[in-house]
Amino acid sequence: MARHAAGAMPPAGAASAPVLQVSNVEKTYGSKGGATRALNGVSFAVEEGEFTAIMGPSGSGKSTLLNCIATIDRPTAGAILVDGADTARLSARKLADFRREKLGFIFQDANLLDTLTGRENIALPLSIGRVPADALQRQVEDTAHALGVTDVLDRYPYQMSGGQRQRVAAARAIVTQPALVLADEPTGALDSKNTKILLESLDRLNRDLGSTILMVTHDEAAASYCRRVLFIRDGRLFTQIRRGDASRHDFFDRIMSVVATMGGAEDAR
Amino acid sequence: MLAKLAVGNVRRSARSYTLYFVTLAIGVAVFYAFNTVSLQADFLDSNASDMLESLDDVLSGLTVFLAVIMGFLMVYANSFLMRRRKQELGLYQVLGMRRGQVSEILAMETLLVGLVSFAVGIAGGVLLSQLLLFVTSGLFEVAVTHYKLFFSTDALGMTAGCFAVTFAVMLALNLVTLRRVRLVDLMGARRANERNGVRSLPVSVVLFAAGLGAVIAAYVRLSREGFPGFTQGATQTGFLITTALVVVGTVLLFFGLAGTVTALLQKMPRFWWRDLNAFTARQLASRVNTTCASMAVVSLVLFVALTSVTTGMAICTALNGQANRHAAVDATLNATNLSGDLSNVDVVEAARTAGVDLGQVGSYAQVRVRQSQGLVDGGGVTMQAMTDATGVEAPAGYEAAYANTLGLWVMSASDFNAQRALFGLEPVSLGGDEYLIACTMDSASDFYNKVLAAGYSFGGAGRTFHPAQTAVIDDASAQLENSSNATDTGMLILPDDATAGLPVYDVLVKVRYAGDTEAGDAALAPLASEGSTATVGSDAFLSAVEAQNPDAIAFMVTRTSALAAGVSITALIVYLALYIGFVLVVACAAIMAVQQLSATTDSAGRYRTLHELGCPDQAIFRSVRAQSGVMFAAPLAVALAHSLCALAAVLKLVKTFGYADLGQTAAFAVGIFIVAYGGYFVATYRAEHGMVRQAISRTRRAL
Repeated sequence: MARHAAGAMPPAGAASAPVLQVSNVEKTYGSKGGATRALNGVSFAVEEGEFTAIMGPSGSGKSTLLNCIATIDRPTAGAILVDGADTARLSARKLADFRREKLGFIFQDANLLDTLTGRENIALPLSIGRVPADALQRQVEDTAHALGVTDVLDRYPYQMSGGQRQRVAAARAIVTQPALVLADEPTGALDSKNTKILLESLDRLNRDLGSTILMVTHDEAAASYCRRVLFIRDGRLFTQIRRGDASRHDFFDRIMSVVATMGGAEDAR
Repeated sequence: MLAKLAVGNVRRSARSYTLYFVTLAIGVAVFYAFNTVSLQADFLDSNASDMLESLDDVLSGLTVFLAVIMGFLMVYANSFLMRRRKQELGLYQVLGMRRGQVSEILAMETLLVGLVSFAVGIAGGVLLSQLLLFVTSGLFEVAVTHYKLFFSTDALGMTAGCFAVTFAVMLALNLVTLRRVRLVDLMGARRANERNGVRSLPVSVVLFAAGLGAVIAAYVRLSREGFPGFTQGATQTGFLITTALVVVGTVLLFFGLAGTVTALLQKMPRFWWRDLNAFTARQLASRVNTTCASMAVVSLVLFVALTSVTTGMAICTALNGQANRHAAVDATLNATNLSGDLSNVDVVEAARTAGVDLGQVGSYAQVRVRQSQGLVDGGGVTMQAMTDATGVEAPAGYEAAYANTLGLWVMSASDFNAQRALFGLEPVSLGGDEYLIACTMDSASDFYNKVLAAGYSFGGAGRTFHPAQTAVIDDASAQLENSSNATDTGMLILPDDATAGLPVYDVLVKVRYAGDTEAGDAALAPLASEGSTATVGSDAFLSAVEAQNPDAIAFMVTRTSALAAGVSITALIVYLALYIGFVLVVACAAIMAVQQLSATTDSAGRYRTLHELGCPDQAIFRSVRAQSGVMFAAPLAVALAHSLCALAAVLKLVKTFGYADLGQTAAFAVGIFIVAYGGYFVATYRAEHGMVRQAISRTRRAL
């Protein structure tokens, strides 16, 4: 099992700076008396074009970490750099622009706006960013094609299947070609067939379009589609493994064994 | 424990309760204040307080109307709140609370909100009634004689009674809702609404077009046919059809509105794909579609309110402006009978018999008013005959006037000049075949002026009469009996010899006091029946006239009583118009507000998603504002369009009462609307702003 030190710098010879740089991030909730430390000095980096998963048991701090990266929450200490910009230093107004231009979100419950059609949902980040109407429509069509949701573009979310909804949400996340796509348990509400379709779509986005994807999941099968898996426990980076040239099946087994180790340690506590 | 939970619930959802609470309080305040009107009389001098007390009967009838409206409003607002809380009520039961206990919480919450809003409302009502006292004194043009803070236990009791009934109904409905709904539905209450508000676009366009067509048809019908009872040829059935067209048209309009507007906007990609425009439009479409029925009702009710306030004010202005003009002389005495001939009646003599020597009171002139029946072949000189001969169109609302059914009145030139002398006016002179027209109603005068200018002539009494001058005589001498408003629709002045054989319908005496008004009124008192506003003569006067001619009835109107009657009519109309208008506007605004707040709560998740997608907060608030603005403005706009059409028709009729100044009237009505309706919009938006800010600042729940 390849172990890397927490906070490892990118491999030497990388051409560009990492898309995401997380350094010694801490997050404490509550007052002085009953403070809960959700993140306790997490550091890692994500390179451009990587497809990375973050795994961890409930309460490990993985969602807090994702919220901090997503700029929805602010870390108590440490720095998060996305595409070279320090998110802690952005004003509230800039944060909105930043989220729209640099980040794409896929949520567990798709989070499509139920009053809008698929097309309008996908177009939303573009229209907020004032992309001209014809360029906007072209981009929406292209993205929908890449995710295989062209035929549901003019349907409302309630007329789509769960899998279609999630892929439309994925299309909305990548339509602005963000530096980083964040996915929070994207397969959590899907059956196994739709899970497979969605993950293959994400994999294709990563390979064909070079999208950088960071996915939080507790599903080992979902994680096995990624190129790298980070494990978090008790607010710290526990370990990470890379897929390398291994088959998805072998990678799945390795993920399972790490999860077992983590779980064992937890039980012993 | 349950009480603590109930208090906590109310405090926690204070924001969504606020408007509901304010509406209840305003309802109570308005209700209380208008029930104190009779009490206000104590602070005014006797003459005005008599009128106020008579007004009180009408107001108490309207109180029932108000109670029903306010009751409906409270129940409606309450059911909206209930719908939003189904999930919470379900949760209590899932946690093992018995239904009885949940009912108890609900009852306590309703009672708590009710008691607090009742207390606040009564406090507001006491203040409002003090304010109203001064408004009343202004309307009645009398001073407040001995002001002190007053409180009416009668009004309090009545308000409390109505409020208690309303609350009982509300509570019963809440408990029924709770009992009827299954737990699984309670828990899923939020998800159930999600599919609402999508309607096929082509269907919407067809509905909208049909609605528009019906409304336009109704407008055309109203402007062509007018109102039954006022406009010739207008029938009750025809008017009902017009009304039905407006109602159906308005409902269809709102059913198709959202889809049609969406379809139109989608044709404009530059607009549709910009900012949150698509989102705002879709939100609006969903809101309009889920509430189109109530929007149509609100729109129609606003229409009624607008029209009643504006018409009321217009009539009031018209009456106020002419009270002085139509009570031109200190007093008039007359004996009248439409079907007989009163040639033998002498009113001056009858007054003497009843104990008043008019010579002692001041100067007077006794004149005879005749009918034109028999002057020309086939009846009197009528407006219709004038229209037929000259082609001048008769004014609206005169179809049933005496000047049209019986013909114009007739007075001899010497009688006319005798009473002109009383005013110090120059006598008129007439050739043997000339005539003049006297009239004090503006809209009729306009008509006669055109007729005279056209040189209208008629044959009668063995000759052909031509106009002696091209203008109507409309000064003080043209008015017959003193009156609070215009009553005389036109009178011919003819040479003495031409009037001799015509039937006398009215023997009129105009009196100018030698001394001051008070002394003159006192001297004439034996001729007046009891009660300051009555115009029929006293028993002695009546029987003295009857002794001369059994068909004749005697009247006496002093200028003082005519003016007082005018003020009383004015005050009544203003009171009723304002009362109805204000209550309806507040009710509508409150319904809209409750709906908007409820819709915003339902959309909270969407705003959070927008925030997370990187939408600037200003853009989100702009969208919220646009949504609420359109939701408030749409019913008002439709109501305004309806009102403009109806008012154009109504004003034609109001003109028959005299001159109507619409500009000022409309400004007043619109002022009331802006304050009440706009105030609700601002309050609603502020509450929404807070709700949305809360929704987007809350971090996503950790998984």
